[in-house]
Amino acid sequence: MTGSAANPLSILIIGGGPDGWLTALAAHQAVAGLPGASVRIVHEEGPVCAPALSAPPDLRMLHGRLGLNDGDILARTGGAARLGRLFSGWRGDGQPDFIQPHGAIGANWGPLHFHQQVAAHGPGTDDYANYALAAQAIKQARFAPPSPNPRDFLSTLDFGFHLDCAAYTALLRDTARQRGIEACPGRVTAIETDETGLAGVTLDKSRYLKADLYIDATGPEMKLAAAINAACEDWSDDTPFLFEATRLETPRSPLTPATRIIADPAGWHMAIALPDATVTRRFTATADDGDTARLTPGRLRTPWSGNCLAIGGAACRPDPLADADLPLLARTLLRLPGLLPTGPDMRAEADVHNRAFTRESDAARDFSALVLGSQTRSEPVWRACRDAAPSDRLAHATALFKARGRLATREHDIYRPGDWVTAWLGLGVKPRRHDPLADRLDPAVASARLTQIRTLAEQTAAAMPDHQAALSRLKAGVPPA
Amino acid sequence: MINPKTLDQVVIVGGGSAGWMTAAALSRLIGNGHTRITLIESEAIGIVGVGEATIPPIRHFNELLGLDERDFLRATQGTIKTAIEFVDWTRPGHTYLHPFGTYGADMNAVKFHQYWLKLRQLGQAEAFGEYNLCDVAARQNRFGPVARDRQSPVSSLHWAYHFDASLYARHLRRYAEQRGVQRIEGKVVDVHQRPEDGFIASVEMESGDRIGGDLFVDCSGFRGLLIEQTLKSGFEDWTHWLPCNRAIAVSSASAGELTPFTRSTARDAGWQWRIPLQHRIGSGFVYSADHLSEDEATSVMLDNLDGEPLNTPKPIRFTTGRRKQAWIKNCVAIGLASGFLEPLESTSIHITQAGISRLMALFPDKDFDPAGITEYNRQAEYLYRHIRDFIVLHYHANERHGVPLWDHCRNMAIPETLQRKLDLFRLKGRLFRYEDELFAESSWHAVLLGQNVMPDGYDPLVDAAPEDRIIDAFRQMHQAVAGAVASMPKHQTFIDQHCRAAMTAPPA
Ligand SMILES: Cc1cc2nc3c(=O)[nH]c(=O)nc-3n(C[C@H](O)[C@H](O)[C@H](O)COP(=O)(O)OP(=O)(O)OC[C@H]3O[C@@H](n4cnc5c(N)ncnc54)[C@H](O)[C@@H]3O)c2cc1C
Repeated sequence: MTGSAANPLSILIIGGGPDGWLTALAAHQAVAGLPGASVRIVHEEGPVCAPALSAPPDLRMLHGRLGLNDGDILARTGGAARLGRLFSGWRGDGQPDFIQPHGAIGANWGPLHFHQQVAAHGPGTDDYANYALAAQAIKQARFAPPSPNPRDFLSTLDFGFHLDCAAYTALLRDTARQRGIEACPGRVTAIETDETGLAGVTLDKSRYLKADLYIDATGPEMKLAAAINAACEDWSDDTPFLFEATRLETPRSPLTPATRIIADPAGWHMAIALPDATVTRRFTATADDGDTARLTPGRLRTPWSGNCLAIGGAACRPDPLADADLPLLARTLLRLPGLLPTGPDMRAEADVHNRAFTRESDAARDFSALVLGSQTRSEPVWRACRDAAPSDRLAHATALFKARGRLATREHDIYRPGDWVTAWLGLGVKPRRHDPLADRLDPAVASARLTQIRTLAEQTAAAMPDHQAALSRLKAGVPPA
Repeated sequence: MINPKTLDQVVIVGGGSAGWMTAAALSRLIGNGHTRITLIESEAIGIVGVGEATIPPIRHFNELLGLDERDFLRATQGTIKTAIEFVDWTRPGHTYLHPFGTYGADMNAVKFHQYWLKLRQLGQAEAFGEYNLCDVAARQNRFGPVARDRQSPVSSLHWAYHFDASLYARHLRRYAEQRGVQRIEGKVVDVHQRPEDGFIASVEMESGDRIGGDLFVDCSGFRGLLIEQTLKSGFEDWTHWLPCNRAIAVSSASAGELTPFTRSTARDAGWQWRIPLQHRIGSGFVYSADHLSEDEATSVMLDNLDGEPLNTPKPIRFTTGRRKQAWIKNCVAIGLASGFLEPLESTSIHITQAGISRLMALFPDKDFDPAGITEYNRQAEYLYRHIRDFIVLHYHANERHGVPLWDHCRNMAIPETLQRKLDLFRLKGRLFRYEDELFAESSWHAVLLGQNVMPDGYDPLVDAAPEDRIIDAFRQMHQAVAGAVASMPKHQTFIDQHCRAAMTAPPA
């Protein structure tokens, strides 16, 4: 039996991008102290990911669990804070940009969601996101870490990251090394299988490694998973914008603490602002540029199969619009310690993970479908995006929202309710009427409360340091003001 | 300004606990100064009136209404419940408790019960229940608030109530009427639908009066007067998993010390409940008519009472399952009208309460948005299935060999969702709860371990912690629980000091 003191659990991770290293740290932490357990990672040298990462706060949650310090990460990798996403050009009718802020957006009143209060007693739903501290801070290009004091309005903030991928990978690798995780550079040249799944991998035709649990962090190549169970769902029909070109641009000032998501007649791009450069990832329907890569959106039907768990891009490649890669990874890794196998038969653990993962990645797929299906641009390629039929679940959620602004419950959602609401409202999908429960609120009290929240958001943001200055202070080791 | 789509009139048909709970909650929460609420009930038809044991969320419901706990207990002859005692379920002679609240404390992000599984193998653990405050307090008949120390390894105290359901309905009736709910006495004899879309337009009373409304809440009990007889929802029958289909209820005089728990005793053809109230003990026998006649059932029950019976035993017939759609057009079914699961885990009143919360969260206007209705039905189905699985577990995991009902339940194919949970647990004691499940992991642990479903192994991470440290931590938890319980008064003392009801003469 594996997993007992007599026959300890060994985990082998293949893949040297941030996915692989984060997995190594998580697995190492999970088995810490377990007599004889081991975690090893095999990493290839060379470029492993896009030049820059844009990550929502889910990554911060994972960092917290892994004992990584966020200020440290920003300072040491030359990263920037991300307080949300800023969408431009998604409405054909020339409506303004909209923000999808991180952290709290107002506060619910019992079962009554905050946007209902804004609709019934405030200036209207267009204004919804502006009640979030993050939205105000984005507009003013300011940043401060959230306050731990729940009485401080600054505690309502949350943030994610813009990270230089190579620097971040190096930091994770150094951390793994410091924590004593065994890392072997090398390339997998052969994979052996048997009836339980993987039997062993050969590195550079010379070294042969065996483990109880194999984790495939090789991204779209799915090196290990492909050897045993590569049944995939192909999501290429979800979007016409399958060609990606990445560019480095000079840094912009002020340094916006948000990922800009910009639609244009031929496609869309995201701009990830770092202090030293802005990285743009542009997605189009044709490969007009020489330097394009083709996306392969989709997912493995059973990401955990036999003794092989596929994570990150090996398990699922959602549309980049969904902003879901790191949230999916974070959830997989947070689940892992509770699912460590105790023997060669891992079906029960795999089943729990696969079910949860399927629902999580369904959410990602629905989210990008929502954006593509609800934008109102008039170019033929964009019009065609609106013809795609949404999943039943998305159709139901949208219908429920359109009627009275209510939110469908969704198991294993990776988004917060406010993420869905800002996307719908921002794209012009509005409830026909607000929730009748909102009529129960005293209009004078409710609107005074809204004004108070709004004022607090504006004033708190105005008192935050400039984003660039806040990052420089972090770098210099000055504690936040 | 009131929106023209706002409902003018809500009609609740039925004045059992479901009807009055709905009326009370709506009168408190709609409060838009416009929507009127009417409740129709028929004394001639009467109510089921046997729901007497509850689970902790009832306290949220009472808080929502702003009911004072002590007034409420006084008004309903109520007592405290911190656990259910299951006697002879696993096998004759065996007893375990399903207490509220959690067991011990998790350590190093590993669940408490995983450590317990290991220490048990080493012979170093007390019985599982010794680490749960409600369990230990229940066995000593104690109850009282404990000072909450954040450092303490003891979870906080959780409790629910036993009460007289008809007195509860009466208490809520007073509450609702004070808040403007209009009550109409009489029998509904006909239902009129709008020709264009089949929505219910009005109900007709024996007197010939018609009562119209925008929204109809069907609280008419098992018959489902509107949801089934008029709107033909259809019923999903679960008798193949839960074969009991009859009950006999009776009250008896109190005897012995007042216990703060419900007792459920397994019998060959079903099980018997015992619910201690201030003025009497409520008892009943839930059984399968395929395995026992009514006369036999009555005598089994009467042979097993604490004291003299106080009334003639009341027979009840039911079918276990759920209404396929709890909300159709402008009609929502709440309470027994929406389905029935036997009272083994005291969930009926909770299902009622959950239906009311859901109705509030999705409260309609005159357009009756279909997506809201779909969402309501989806959530209702989810709750029913989850509770069903938990109840089926009690029947399935038994060692009562050679008794036909129990052999059937042990050998039957169980719902796939439950099978998956059991498989995972048997392997290494793991449970994965989906969000929003009513019964927390500790409840599953109580019943799984209580009914002797012992995992083959435990989480390997348990071995990461040094044994002596764990043994030490367990000793501290055990002592902390014992210490906290020792400081509590007896349940009877608590009731006497805080919420003694006026003495009532037992009915002649
Ligand atoms: C054996 C048994 C044990 C139970 N134990 C528990 C327990 O321990 N814990 C728990 O939480 N729940 C328990 N329950 C469930 C509990 O009894 C019910 O949830 C509760 O009584 C609610 O019932 P109700 O209001 O839906 O229906 P009922 O009590 O049946 O009320 C129906 C109402 O509709 C009215 N009505 C019906 N038809 C008409 C008509 N044509 N015209 C006018 N009015 C009409 C009746 O007059 C009555 O007022 C138990 C149920 C049973 C059967």
